[in-house]
Amino acid sequence: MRVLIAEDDELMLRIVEFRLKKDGHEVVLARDGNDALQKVEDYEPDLIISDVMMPYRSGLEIVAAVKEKHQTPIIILSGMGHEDMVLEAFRLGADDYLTKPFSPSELSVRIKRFGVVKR
Amino acid sequence: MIYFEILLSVFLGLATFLITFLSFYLFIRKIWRRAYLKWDRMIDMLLRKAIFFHEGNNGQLTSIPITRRLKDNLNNRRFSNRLVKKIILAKRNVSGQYGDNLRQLYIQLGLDKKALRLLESRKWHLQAYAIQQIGTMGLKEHLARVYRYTNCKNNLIRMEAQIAVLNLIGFEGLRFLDIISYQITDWQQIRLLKELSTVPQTELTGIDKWLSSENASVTIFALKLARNYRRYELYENIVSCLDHNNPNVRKQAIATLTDIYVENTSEVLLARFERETYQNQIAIMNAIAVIGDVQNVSTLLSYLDTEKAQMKFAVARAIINGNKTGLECLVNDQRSKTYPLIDMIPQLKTEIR
Repeated sequence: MRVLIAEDDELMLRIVEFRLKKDGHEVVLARDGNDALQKVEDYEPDLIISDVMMPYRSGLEIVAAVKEKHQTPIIILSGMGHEDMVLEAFRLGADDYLTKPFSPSELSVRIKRFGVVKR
Repeated sequence: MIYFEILLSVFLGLATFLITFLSFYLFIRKIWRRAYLKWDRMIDMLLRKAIFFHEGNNGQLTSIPITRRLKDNLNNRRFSNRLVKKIILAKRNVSGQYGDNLRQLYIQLGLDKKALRLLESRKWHLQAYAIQQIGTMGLKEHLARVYRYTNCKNNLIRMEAQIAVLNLIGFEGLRFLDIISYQITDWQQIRLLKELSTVPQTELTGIDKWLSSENASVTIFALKLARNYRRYELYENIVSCLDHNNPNVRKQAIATLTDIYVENTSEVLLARFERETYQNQIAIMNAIAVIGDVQNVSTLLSYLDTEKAQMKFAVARAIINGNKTGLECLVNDQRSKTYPLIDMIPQLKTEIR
């Protein structure tokens, strides 16, 4: 599966990347909101994992923009676990919401749940 | 002419000095940047290795392998500080065995001992940093040492200690609310609630006691806890906070009753309307807009005569949202044909729940 990870924290980006590569996924990295949207168009990922707080565009803006054009599943991975934020993410079209601190194994299992067609 | 030559010499001297100084400064900065980049790569690799340590290790290794270069670098204060910062950040982001691995790395590198030394420092910012480390890394064995700072006179040390005890023992850590004499700021309350949202939920007892605390900020925080964790059994205690002498406590009690209410809560609130402060009157109207019913309409209509547009708007909103016939009652009232209600009603119609 081709997965786009949008995260501005380099270490987190590398941790998620490491986990996904270990699970056999192809990984595309984006370090800010604009970069993420550009890479959605360029690489057409099967799944997007996005942080909420990022430069230029937030994760929620990415969800809204992506869901306007595509059906790509989106998992939000954020330190903001407040009920309002979670509900807003789902309202905009996010498919799953994982709060930090998170377990990389749990992320793996949640990705498998989507069962997106492998390339 | 001589003056001109002296001035020129001084100017040239200063310019040379400045250029030399700036070049030297930029050179040193470049060297440090390179060193930091190299360190960051080294630390990131170590943390990745540590986080996934249990996955690649079939029980053969008991400690996380650390290179000699990294061990040597640990003696460098800047490197050590950078490493601690990154471990803490990573620990906040990963949980379960992955987080435990980072804790193991932290202890293995002897960073816990360094934190304990910082705790004994006379500088408050170092003490606060040490407390933050102990809390984030979950060093429960040092709970007693951290706990005594939860009522420290230094604001920042106190804040970090309160967060740290929640990190260490979860909801049980809130026991500091029994003893604190200092106010909990709004910002600190937000931080505490956020921290609580990440710890496993257990039976939370003591809210009733905190609701009658002599420290008003503790009462406000207890009201927020009751609201967030839907403690319906505390309804009577929350209502009694409406008679508190601090208007901020009463305001929070009104907000909490918007979520924890019974059939006659709107009447209980309206009965206190006249003696409340202006801000709390607005809060009552906002609450009625959520929990009001048809029996409140006649009382609410009597408040429409207010001169203040903000209050008029809040009352009109309470009438419309409080019950199904609210809009009809308001439109039938003669005052709704006059300014400003005539302008407010179209907007309020769009808000009908």
